[in-house]
Amino acid sequence: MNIVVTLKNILEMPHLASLGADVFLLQTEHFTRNVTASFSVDEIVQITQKSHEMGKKTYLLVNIMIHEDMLIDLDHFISEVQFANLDGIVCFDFTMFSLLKKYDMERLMIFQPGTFNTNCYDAWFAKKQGMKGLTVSKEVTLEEILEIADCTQDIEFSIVGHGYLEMFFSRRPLITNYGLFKGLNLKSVANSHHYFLQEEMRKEEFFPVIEDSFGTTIFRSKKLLSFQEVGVIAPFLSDFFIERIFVSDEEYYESIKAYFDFKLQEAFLSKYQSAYDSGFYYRRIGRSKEAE
Amino acid sequence: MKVELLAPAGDLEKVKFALLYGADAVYIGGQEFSLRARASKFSLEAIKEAVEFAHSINKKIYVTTNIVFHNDDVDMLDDYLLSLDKMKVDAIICSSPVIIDRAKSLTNLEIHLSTQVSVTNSSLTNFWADQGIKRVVLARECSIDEIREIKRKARADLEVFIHGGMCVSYSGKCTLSNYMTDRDANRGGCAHSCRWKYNLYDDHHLVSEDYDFQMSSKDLETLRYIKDLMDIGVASLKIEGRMKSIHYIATVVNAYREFIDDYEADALKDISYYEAEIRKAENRLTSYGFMEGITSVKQQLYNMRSEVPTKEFVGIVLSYDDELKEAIIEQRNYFQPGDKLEIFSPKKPTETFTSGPIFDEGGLELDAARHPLQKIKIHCETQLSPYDILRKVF
Repeated sequence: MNIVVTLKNILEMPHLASLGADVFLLQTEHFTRNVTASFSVDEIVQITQKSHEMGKKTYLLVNIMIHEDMLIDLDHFISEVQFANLDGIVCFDFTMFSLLKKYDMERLMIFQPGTFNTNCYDAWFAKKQGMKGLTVSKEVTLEEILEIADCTQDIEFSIVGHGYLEMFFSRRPLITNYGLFKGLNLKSVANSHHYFLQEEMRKEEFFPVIEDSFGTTIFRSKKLLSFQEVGVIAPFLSDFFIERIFVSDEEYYESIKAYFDFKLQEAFLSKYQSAYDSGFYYRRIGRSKEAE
Repeated sequence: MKVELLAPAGDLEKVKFALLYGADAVYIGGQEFSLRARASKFSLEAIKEAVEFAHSINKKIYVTTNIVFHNDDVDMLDDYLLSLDKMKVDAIICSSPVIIDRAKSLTNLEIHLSTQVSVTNSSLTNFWADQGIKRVVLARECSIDEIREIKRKARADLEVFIHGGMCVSYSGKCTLSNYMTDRDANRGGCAHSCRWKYNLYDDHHLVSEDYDFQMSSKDLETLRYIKDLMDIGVASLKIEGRMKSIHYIATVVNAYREFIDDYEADALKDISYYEAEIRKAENRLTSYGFMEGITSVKQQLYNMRSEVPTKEFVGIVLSYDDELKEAIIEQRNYFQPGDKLEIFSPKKPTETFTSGPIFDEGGLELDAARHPLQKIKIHCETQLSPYDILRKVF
């Protein structure tokens, strides 16, 4: 099982590798939303080469919704990175499949749509298309993950197992619009990582929210933790993603280390536990009726 | 190709009204495998009846099977698809590869790709076309320019939402409901958490006031874009709202039907006419959504404001006696003798009359029609027909 970590800068690579990272996940300048740190094509080429020299891998994250007017630019971008020797491209929008296929790169695609990939058939479909892998949906139970994992032996299977996970993505600039409606002078809205939402009936919960040029993303109020579960899932996993967004460097490094050292988990929990939960691992979300 | 007007229906009665008031096709949800759980009331028997009714007047029925499947949802899927095929459902609307594959393998069903997949470009449209998808329902986030460009390159038919409620999120990309209420938004359990009230904080500083940060969207209304959509060659114009009332569906369908027919006949009236028709039943503020690109404040619904329809739905005509000029009405809302009523019919222009005495079925005179679903008798000189709607004029 590879530990996939988000890279902030090239100088950080040796340190992340020393902590146990196997794969560096790179965000792009123009095709990644909710960016922590982005890299140019030249930097992507450089980092990929360096990672290989270190015996590590590099993935690229393309997590936007691809609208018609982005197709040409995205095609150009793929044509540029096709020679970077990347090990994987993590894709949110299935449009990427056709774009990558044009360059014979669909074998690099890891389909990570967030909400789909909820059954064995999805895995079969991804395999049939010739993709590298798929990341299971973020709202399925541990039991379901194991079921799906059991039928995905022919394709790489991954989970986003740690950190803040998103639960809503809109094309609307919701913070900007609210500011305009209220006549507020909101500063630095674009890609700011310091806005939170609090729902009227859930006053103890604060949901991080980010707006950038692609829209507005809302995250869960608690970060996902998989210390207990990773041992059960690991035999089936190719990749285990550790999200970095909204997390300090210190906490991020400690979290990576903790997945390798049981003793460190205790220290990590004593420091951060209240900010974490087990997500949907043990929450069976039924096909319940609508509230309204 | 003539553009299709596609309407929603939450039950059999709404199917009939939608089709009679001008829809070319209606989409309905089965009790299994459909989003909008509360609007998905159709048993196989009811689907069969809807199909038979639609086909008897040369119209179509599509069945939504658009949940995001989990492993345990797949049981009974094959039997269900075979049943739909056998009863000659005109198409299924789905979002999951499992159902596409099973439908292709087992049936001759036409397959439409749900907006749950959020298709926003021609490349993805064509991928699905190559997978055997006949029609793609585009994401509501597409602008008119994007739709035009997608159509230029698409190998599948395109369906576009033209009216009704809108997800704030890209469809299928939201689990607010899952996280906050344990209801699966992608399997029919959406609790509409995006319409709740929130406070906005900038770090620890409260920016909003008393939970007035709202994400809600105004409903979609695209009368001003229908000409463009027809000229572009979109195959189907879709109205949202399987939970909406008979009156709403009949009114909105009729207004768009009239617009489409008038445009085709080169006889368009001023757009304010069609807008006024819709406002007779519309109770939400509307806007044109993403038609002009990224949304602004104008498309947001702050303060949960609503509109009052300009007409009130008071009854449905069940029968009419030509000799006595008496109609049996199924009452829906209060009215009394002396109220001015409008006859809303799919067959003729609206007319008004003043209600005379009201009687119950036994002939007892009533001071008012005050009991919903009560069958009452009124005199009307204008000939009425079953499925005509009566509205109170304010």
